[in-house]
Amino acid sequence: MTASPQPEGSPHNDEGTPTMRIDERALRELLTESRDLHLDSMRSAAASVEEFEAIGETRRRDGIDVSATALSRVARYDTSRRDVLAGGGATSIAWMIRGLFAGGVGTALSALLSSPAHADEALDVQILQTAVSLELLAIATYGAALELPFIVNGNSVVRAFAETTMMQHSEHAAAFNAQAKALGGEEQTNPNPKYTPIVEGAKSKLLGPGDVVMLAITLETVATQTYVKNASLLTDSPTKLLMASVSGVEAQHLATLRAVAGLLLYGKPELIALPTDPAQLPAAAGSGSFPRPFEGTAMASPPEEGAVQ
Amino acid sequence: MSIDEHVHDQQGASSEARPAGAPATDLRVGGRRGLLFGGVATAFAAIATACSSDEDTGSSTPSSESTQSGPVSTSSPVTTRDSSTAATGGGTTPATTAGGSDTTTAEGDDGADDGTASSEPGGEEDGATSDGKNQEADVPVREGDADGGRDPNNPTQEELSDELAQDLATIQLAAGLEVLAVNTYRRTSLAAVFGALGAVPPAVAEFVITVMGHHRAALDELNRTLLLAGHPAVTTPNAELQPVVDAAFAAVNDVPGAARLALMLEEIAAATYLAAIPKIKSPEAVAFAASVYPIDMQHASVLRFVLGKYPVPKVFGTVENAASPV
Repeated sequence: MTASPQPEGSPHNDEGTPTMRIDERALRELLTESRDLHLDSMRSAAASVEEFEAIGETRRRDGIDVSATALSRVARYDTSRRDVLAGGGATSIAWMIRGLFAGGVGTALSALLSSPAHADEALDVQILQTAVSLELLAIATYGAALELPFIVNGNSVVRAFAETTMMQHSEHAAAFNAQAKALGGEEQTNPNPKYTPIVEGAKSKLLGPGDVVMLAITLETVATQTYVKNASLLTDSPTKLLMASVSGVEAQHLATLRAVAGLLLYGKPELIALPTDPAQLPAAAGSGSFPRPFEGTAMASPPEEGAVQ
Repeated sequence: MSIDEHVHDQQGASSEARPAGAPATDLRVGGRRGLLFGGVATAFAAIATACSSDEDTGSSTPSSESTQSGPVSTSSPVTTRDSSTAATGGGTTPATTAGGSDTTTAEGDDGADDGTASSEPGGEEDGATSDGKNQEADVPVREGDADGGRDPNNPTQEELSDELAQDLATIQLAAGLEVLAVNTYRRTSLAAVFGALGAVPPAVAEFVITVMGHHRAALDELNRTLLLAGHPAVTTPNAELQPVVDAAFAAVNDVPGAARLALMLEEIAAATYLAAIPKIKSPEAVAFAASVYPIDMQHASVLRFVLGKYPVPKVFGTVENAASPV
C-alpha cells in the first residue's frame, strides 16, 4: 500500500508527509499515564513470571499432573490434534462435540495411550517459542519503522505508538520465554522464520506511514490470531492465561492500527491525535477497528513454526 | 430528568405519532425500525435504518446494505453472521443463531423461547428445540460419519460432553453480561435518538450499533449452547451489575458519559472472558472465549481513543474487573 492520497488542504510538512494536530501537553500526560500503567503491569508480570518459574520447578520435581479424567483428556487431545492438523479455526462452542464424536473416541483413545504424558507440555513449549518468535519479529519491525524519516519526523502520536508497542512486545517476548523455561523448554532468541524474510522484503517498499501501518496490521493480526488459537491448544493453565492476556493487547494494537489506517484512507490524518475530535471522525471509525464479532484464527501460526529446533 | 425518563416521555410522544398498522412493538429497542415511524427526522434515522436492515435481512452485520425498513414479521427470525465457513469448521467465525432479534429483560421475550434455537448459513435450521432436544428426523444422515451418521453440528443433549456441563455456570455468567451489554447499548442508542445525549458524532452512532451487534452475536452463541445442553437461554442481565449500570446510566447526559459507561462494561466483559479461559474445561468453549475476549478489548481501545485516552494502556490484559457468578 502506498501512502494514501491526501485531499487538498490536508496538512503536510515540507516533504509532503501528512502532519497531524497534536496537543503535546495532553500527549505527555497520556504517555505518563501509559507508563504508569505499564509499570503497574510490569510489577504484575514480574510476579507472574516468578509464579511461572515456581510452577515449572514443581513440575520438574513432581512430574505432570495426570489427574484429569480420561474422557476430558481424550476430548482435548483429539481436538487439539485435529485443529493442529486441519489448521482451521473452530470457535463455535457447538463444535466441541466433534472432538468426542466426529473424530472417533476409539481413535483418540489410541492416540492418547500412545502419547507420553509430557507430550502436551512439549506442545506448550513449542507454542511459547513460536509466540516469542512472532514477538521478536514485531520488535524488529517496529524498530526498523522507527528509523524511517517519515516516522521519526512524522506524527508524534504514531511515533509514540510505535515506541510503546515495541516496548510492549518486548515484555511479551520476555514473559513467553520465562514461561517456556518454567515448563522446561529453551528460550527462543530468533525471530519467526516464516515471516522474517517477508518483512525484510517489505522494508524497501515502506514509502509512507500507510505502508508501515499496513505491515504492522499484518504482523499484529498474525500474532493475535495465533494466540487466540493457542488458548485452546495449551494445557498449562498459567500459560493459557498469559497467552490469552497478550492476545487482547495485540488485538488492541490491531484496532488502533486499523483506526489509523482508516483515517489515512479517509484523508483525515489530522484526526490521528490524542485527544482527537470525535465529531470529525468519519462514521466508519466506529466500526472499522473490529470487522468481526469474533476474532478469527485463519492467519494463526502453527505451534511448531517458530519452535527452537 | 434521567435519560430513561426522557426517553420514556419521548416514546410516548412518538407512539402517538405511529401510523396505523405499525407494530405495537415499535418502541422496543429491538423494534428499532419503529423509530422511523416515530417522526424523529434526525441523523439517527440512519441508525434505525441500519438496525432495521439488520433485523429484516436477518444479519447481525451492522453494515448490511439492505434498506428495507417496513414492518417485518417477528416469527422465527433468523440471524446469520459471517458464517459461510463456520459450519464446515474451516472458518473463523461461528455460526450465529438467534431465536429472536431482540434482547429484553423480560422472560419469554427472547426469541429463543419460540423454539427456534439456531440456524446454519442459508437459513437451514439445526433442529434444536427449546428443551435442548434434537429433531432427529430432520437431521440428515451422512455416510461415513465415524459416529454412525450423527450430525456433529447438531448434537443431542446426551451427546454433550461432561466438560461442557462443568462450563455451564461460566457460560451463563457470560450470557448475563452479554444481555447487560446489549441492553445498555440499546438504551444508549435510544437516548441518542431522543436527544438525551446531545449531539452524537456519526462515528459514535456507528460504534453503538456495531458493538451492540457484536454482543448480540456472542449472546446468541452462548444461548445456543445452553439450549443444546437442555438449559434455558439467558434473557436477564447480570443481577449484580444491573443496578450499578442503572445508576451510572441515570447520570449519563452526554456522549463522553455514555462512552465511559460503555468502557466500564467492555472492561468487565473482557476481564470476565479472560479469567474464564484457564478455568473452562472444554477446549471449544476456551476457543470461543478466546475469540470474544480480544474483540471486547478492541471495543475498549476505541472507546479510550474517543475519550482521548491512550488506546493500549497495559502490557498484559488483566482479570481485575472480572465478574463472578452470583
